[in-house]
Amino acid sequence: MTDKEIKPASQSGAVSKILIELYAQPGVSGVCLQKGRSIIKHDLPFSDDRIGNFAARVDHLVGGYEVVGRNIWQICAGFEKYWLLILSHGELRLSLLLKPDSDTSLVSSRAAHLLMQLDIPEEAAPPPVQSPMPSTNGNHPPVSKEYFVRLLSGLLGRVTGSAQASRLISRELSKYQDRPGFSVPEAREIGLAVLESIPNRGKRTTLTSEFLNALNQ
Amino acid sequence: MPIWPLPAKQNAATAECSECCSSVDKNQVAVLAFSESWHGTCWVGLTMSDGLLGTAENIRIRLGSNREIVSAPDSVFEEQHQEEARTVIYEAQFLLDYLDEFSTVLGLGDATFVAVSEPQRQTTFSYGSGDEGSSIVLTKAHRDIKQILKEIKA
Repeated sequence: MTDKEIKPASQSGAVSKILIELYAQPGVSGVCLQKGRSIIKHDLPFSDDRIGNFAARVDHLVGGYEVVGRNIWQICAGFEKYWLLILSHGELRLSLLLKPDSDTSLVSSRAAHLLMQLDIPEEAAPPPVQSPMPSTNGNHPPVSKEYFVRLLSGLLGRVTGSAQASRLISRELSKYQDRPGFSVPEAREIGLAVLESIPNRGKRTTLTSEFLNALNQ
Repeated sequence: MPIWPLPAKQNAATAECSECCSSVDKNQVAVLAFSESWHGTCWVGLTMSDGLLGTAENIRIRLGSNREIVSAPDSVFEEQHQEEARTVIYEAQFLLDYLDEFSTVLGLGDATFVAVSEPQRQTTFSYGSGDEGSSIVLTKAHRDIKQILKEIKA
């Protein structure tokens, strides 16, 4: 992966200018700026689908902390080849790929400063990038079983062990063994039945709300 | 080196919160859910600056390959901090699952550490490879990540 130059575009000049400033920091190899799950700009050498998937996971991770009142402003993750720095400010998430020998503190403080300067109005945010999650608008296409299980496992995984989560889901899905997917109302009914087994009322309400939101996206 | 297992989850009791008027099953404690968003009078009323970091500026927990505690300060084993300790250990795996996904999507290789920064708290998780265990370092102040990693390896 090599450093790339971001050229300012007229409609997103301010964003581009800020990203160019970030690229001026030694060791910055890639940048992705998103608002919620919507990608505003990225310069990572992957397909938009793949980056959409990445952005959705980043938002999910940060959102998972926010929902319990923890306002994360930075996540720095180290991997064998690169470091990944994720900064969060409001709904904005700025992810930077860094070379491990870069000055993380310097890049982080510069990026945080630039992120706070960004004020992207609601109407300026582009439509969400296509994510791997199924669309349920319009005529409610079916929800694939694989997606459904992944969604529920992720939610249940926060309150119970993965084996128990798997058992709870399997028990409910045993009634629909030969089905590759479900309609949205069916998925809602099955999911709510599974989530009903969470004994803590507060957590049940939170996870149910998150489940319904994910299903309706 | 002594190995201190965490108390069995089954031993946890149910607490009553006078503010939310609902009983809270400690066995069902959610990953990350030890925040101030919970009410202040019951066991979940910890804030980020209280709890373990109320006992020291830095807390370091070393885990074995099965996520058992290999070493930790005494405060980790005090009754009022066990839930937080358990939650932090779960958080290590919770984050690792996300890192694995990021790695798959972006081709970054194995995750080696992650540091999460929030007001009054920085949590650094260092993941060992193979049979090596992991380390968790909690600090009140936000510190340079490379410095923390050096200390973990020392």
